[in-house]
Amino acid sequence: MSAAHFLRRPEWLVVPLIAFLAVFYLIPVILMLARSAGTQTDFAPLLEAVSSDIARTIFWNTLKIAVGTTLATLVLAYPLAFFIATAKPFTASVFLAIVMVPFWTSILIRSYAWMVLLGRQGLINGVLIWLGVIDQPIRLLNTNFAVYIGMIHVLLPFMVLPIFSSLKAIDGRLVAAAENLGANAFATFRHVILPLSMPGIVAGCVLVFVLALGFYVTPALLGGPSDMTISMLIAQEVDLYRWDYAAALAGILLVATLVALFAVSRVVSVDKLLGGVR
Amino acid sequence: MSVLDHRKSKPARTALGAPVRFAGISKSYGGALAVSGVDLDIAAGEFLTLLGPSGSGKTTTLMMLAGFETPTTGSIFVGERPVTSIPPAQRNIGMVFQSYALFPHMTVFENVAFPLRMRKKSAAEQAAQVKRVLDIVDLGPLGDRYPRQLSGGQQQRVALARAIVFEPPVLLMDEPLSALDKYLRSHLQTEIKRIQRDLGVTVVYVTHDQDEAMTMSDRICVMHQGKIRQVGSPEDLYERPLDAFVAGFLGESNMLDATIASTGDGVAILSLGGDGVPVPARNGVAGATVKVSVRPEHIHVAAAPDGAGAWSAAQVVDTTYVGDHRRYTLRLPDGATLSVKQQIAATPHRHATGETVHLRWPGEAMRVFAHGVSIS
Repeated sequence: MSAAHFLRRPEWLVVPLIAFLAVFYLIPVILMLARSAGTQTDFAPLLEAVSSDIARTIFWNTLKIAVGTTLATLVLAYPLAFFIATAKPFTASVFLAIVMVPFWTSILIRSYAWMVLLGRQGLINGVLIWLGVIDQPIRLLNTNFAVYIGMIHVLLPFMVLPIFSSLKAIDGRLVAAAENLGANAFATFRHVILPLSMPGIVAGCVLVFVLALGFYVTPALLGGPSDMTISMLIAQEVDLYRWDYAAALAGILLVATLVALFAVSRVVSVDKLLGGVR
Repeated sequence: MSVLDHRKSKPARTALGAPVRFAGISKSYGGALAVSGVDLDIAAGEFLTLLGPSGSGKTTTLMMLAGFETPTTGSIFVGERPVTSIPPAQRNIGMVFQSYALFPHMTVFENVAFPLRMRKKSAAEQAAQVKRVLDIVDLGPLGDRYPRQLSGGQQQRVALARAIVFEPPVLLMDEPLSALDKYLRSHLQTEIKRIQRDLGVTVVYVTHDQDEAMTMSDRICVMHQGKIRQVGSPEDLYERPLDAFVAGFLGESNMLDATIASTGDGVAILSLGGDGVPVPARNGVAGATVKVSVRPEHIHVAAAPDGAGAWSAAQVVDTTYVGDHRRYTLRLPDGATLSVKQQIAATPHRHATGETVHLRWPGEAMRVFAHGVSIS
């Protein structure tokens, strides 16, 4: 096949990737799902997972953390992305670098760093005692709060970058037009900037939510016993050699994630956000 | 606007337009003057074009009127109201942007209703007003479309509808037709003129296209390097340019070197390519070097001189057939080249390249410039 052939039929170019994913991802996933049906194919592990109160509690807990993290990240990331998108080029690149640097640091190291900061003898307690705000160290580490802090920290770039790029893509003349047509700053934001950055918001939320659903290291290191997430439960079951049950839990997580994504795609049509047919 | 002016101007159906006044407007960026000492009075309901090459300050002038730029010195008035320090949202000035700046996430209806919504008009009023202007711009049935689904010309009409729907006294247009093809452009020129006349709105129009300026404007303000070079009707500017820049920018002009041989009684005798030619000139010093402009259509070409008046010989360098007229490039004996337009209906004969021809033009067709300024 000539190079020209690939240009006319570029779909051939994705064959290596699809082959890789099929062998190393799709087949293992299918094997895992098959495994969750149990050794007698009576779906016993699945039924056990669905009827387990502990599993259900942990699922809800995972969902709560994922939704909470997504919302908190959005609230923190949007103003930052807006600032970077409107800043002068040098300031923008400095702040983008600040957003990106933790991105390049191992998630494990970052979690340990938070342990140092949040611990009983940690920096935050030390400063608070020194300032006289508190007499005794307060419990920060191994709490729900620490899980949120750690996860927000890890996931912030995934929210900032898509929002930044959709804000950056907004034609400044639209903002000028809105002003010219009588819109004050708030109305310009509400009716022009916010809707046009919606694709970035949706992309950021989906990314953060899906990643948060599968978080393991951060809640394991920073959270308390009640902050167990589904991936921690799966790891625990694997450690106990209950592989079929772990496969059932993983299968439910996969299906739940797909359902959530499908729901989002039905509620917000990105095409419609961007102005109809493209 | 005085009562007298009202009587002179054609009465508009609605008295929408307001006069605009620029008083001593300058704008500098850092140390560079983008606009310098602009004084300009625009009458209510007038169609005024700011014409100039890029970097002439015309867009900056428009942006100061819209409120997107603040003048370094001077004041701007709309009617009696000083607007210099009023933010754009409160100026109540319509604007059609060069790129149309339609909101891509809103339908045509929502785009046009936007200024009404910002003015807290009722839904019923919005619907009625939007329908009215969509009919004016001939887009009645397309209210549900998104801008992306429209052609360039239709998008332009939406932008125009959105700019007039809230009945602003002044409408600004920043090269609104530059993205359209030639046919659509001339069609929309006519339409914009019609709408402007019907509404009686004052239009300040920015373009670098002199044909567009000539076709549409009541008056043209020619700008160059941040300064106003001349303000006048298209005819004024074309027939009586005050300086060499205006003569060269509006339409085509041949610029020839000449010296003033003698002067007297409003007439100067020019020495042009060895011949003495009388031209009207207010002042001028004998012996001074001047530039003379002649429009290509004023030059008469013949195979042989007919004896009347002074004729110069020239050689045909190039000829082009343009349908209604023929274009010649001629070389004079002193080496200067001349561009000449001959109407085919009047002079069907074609002079071939290399042929020697004879030229003549009336003295009153010439404009004489000393140091770039007209002395005619």
